[in-house]
Amino acid sequence: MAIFKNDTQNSRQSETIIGSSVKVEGNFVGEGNVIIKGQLQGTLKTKNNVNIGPTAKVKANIEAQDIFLAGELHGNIKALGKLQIMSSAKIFGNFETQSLTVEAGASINGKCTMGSEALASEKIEKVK
Amino acid sequence: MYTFIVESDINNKKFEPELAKIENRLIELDIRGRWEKLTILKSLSETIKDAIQSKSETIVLVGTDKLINNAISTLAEFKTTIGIIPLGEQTFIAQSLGIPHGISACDTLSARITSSLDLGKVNNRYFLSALHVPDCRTLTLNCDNQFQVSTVTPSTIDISNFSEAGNPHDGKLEVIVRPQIEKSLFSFMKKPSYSKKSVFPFKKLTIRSGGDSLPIMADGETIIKTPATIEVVPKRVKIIVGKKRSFK
Repeated sequence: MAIFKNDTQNSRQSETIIGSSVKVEGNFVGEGNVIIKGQLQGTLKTKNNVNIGPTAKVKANIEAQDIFLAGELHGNIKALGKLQIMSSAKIFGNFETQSLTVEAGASINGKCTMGSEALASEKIEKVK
Repeated sequence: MYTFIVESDINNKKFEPELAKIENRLIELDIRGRWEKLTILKSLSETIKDAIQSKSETIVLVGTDKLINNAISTLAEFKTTIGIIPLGEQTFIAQSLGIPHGISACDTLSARITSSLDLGKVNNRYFLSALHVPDCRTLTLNCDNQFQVSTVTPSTIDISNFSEAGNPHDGKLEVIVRPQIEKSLFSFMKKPSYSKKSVFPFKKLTIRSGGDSLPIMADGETIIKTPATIEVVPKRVKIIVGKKRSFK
């Protein structure tokens, strides 16, 4: 999985890493890539990509370009590009994406809206 | 005109031959100016202010990171260009800026590649490169009034402008939370692992410790204690940098 390069390169490019030794609470709005290995509670919105590692425990709504999910997520996902769900992933929430890949063994509990339908339903909601 | 300020620890017999070589090389490169050698009785801040009043356009700091850290708060108040000739031990700031140690730094001065860099400000005191908070047990970081970071295990905290992470042109600083590695009998055989580290870019950060106040250190010296507010001041200083700097 090559959404992200190694840690050193990521930190030089001013990216966010939530390690397994910290707990983050609140509304995170950023522009760079975000790597989650620890705990996050709140909301997360970035113009770039999000990588949720196998050790991560996330209770948040997430909006990003591409999302790679291998950990546990309680919340809704909006991937403007690709969503990749790995075998270790557990999702409790709905997700919207343009492109979806799911590995065998992943646990998904929620509604999936894809491609143009996701954008159409969003427009209807905005009109309402 | 240049003003060269020599750190008091460098102003001794051990460094005399190297200082003489540097002075000769600068003459060869047609870089001339006034030399100010600091002593216990000569204040760094006053020396800088005197140099600026004498219309010195470039102030060159000759010495270690300690001199740079002590000078930066005064220099940040003026629009003078800063040069560095690293001499002595602990010259990591110059290294990150791509400035070679000793006499070779004269050629970097001569090439005069200038860069406007962000500065960090901690409770009204400026810093250029990094801050360090050792041995934090219960610590809360509030980033940009948006989210809070709490440490789950004992950790060390580094605030970086460009020393390890970050870019001094992006208008942000980085806070790096590193869990302390448990020491065991065979720990010396293992490579240090930073896979658990956390990195958060920020513009404004408030550090609060749960129990007693913790020291916030720059270059091994405590400059302030928690609670503290740290913020970035974009493009505050103009520095002569080398080609091999650690940022673009």
